[in-house]
Amino acid sequence: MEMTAHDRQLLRLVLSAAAIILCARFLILPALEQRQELKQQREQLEQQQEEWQLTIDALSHLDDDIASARDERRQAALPYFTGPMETREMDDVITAIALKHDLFPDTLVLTAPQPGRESDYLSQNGQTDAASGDGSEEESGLTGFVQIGSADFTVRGSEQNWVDFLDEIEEQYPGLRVKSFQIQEESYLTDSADVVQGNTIHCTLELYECVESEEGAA
Amino acid sequence: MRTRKNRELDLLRSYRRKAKGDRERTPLLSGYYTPALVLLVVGLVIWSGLAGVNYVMQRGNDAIQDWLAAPETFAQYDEAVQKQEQLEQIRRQIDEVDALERSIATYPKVTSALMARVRAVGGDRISVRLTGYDDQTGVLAFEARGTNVSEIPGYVRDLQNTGLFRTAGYTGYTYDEDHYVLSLSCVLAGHASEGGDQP
Repeated sequence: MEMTAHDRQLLRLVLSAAAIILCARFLILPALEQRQELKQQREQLEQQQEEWQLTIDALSHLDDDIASARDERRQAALPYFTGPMETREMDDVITAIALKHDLFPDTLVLTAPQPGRESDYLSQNGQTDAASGDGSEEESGLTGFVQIGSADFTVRGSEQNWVDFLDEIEEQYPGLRVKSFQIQEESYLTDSADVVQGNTIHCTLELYECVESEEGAA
Repeated sequence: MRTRKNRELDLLRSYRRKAKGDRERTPLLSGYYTPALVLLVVGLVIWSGLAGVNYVMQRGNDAIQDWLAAPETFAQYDEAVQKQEQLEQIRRQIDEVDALERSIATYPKVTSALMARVRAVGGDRISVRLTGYDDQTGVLAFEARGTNVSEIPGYVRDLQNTGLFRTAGYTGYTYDEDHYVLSLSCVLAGHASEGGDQP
């Protein structure tokens, strides 16, 4: 059987279509897909490379930045005690101030400094709209650099001596803050069995210290 | 004339025979598979071009990956990251100290200066005895002693007018040994801005 011209024409069309489909399906489209993947991979790699390069370039001034920041931190921490303080050191400071102002120390209960955050007086007492809360949601963000200890103590002495004590803490010790106190008039029995009137002062005081750590040194 | 026409017709036939013979001798150019072959070749050329571009791109990607994986690159990057973390940590510590300073500055200062201002309100007529303070409530508690009962309301009003207190809590007086004793619980005003003076 001999092919007619029409058959040849039809066969030509079918073969051409097959050639186009085969080329597209098995050669060109896979190559284009691979090109697209490579392009995406290139973008990611270039982004990562740029990020790494910037980070590496920063090495040249990071040491200076760290030294400068340490200096700034040292300046900021100057008013406060340098920790970690032991409770006996806290005792030294507080009792010495009390004795200096002729206050007779009766009792002292110390709590070692712990990482903490001081709340704001105004929001605490509803004097501003911005409520700081107790800061519990932010506690996890503490670095431990600022630590707060407390001392509950009782002393005996005159009101004037107590006010002098408050003055000295306010003016000389930014690392100490009197949180609360009560002054009660009481009668005492002296060594010579005399009864005298005097004040018993119960006070709670906070101590702020800054503790330098290794801060994840390289 | 007839002879000439026949000769022309013969030439045409001859030409057609020749043309047909030529076609039969070159089936590659005239065959039914020729267009398909041409298309396949074109497809291969396009594929080759794309493959070349892909190869170059792959080489570029490999070069970047090699740079990222190089030990010296990684060591430098790791060192820089650690130092940046160290710097961030120091800055957070500075922020903590600043926050502490700001918070402390908001508290009222219970000192002799404050008590002098409280005492000045009563002057010589009313004496004041400090009895307590609590920063949780802001209450400064004190007793005021005076001899003239009619002065008491004015004294409490004057205390409020000092601006030292947000509220001046007064619940009454008692008479004791020729004196009227007032128990006052006044909530101290804090500092709105850091480092501000006591109002």
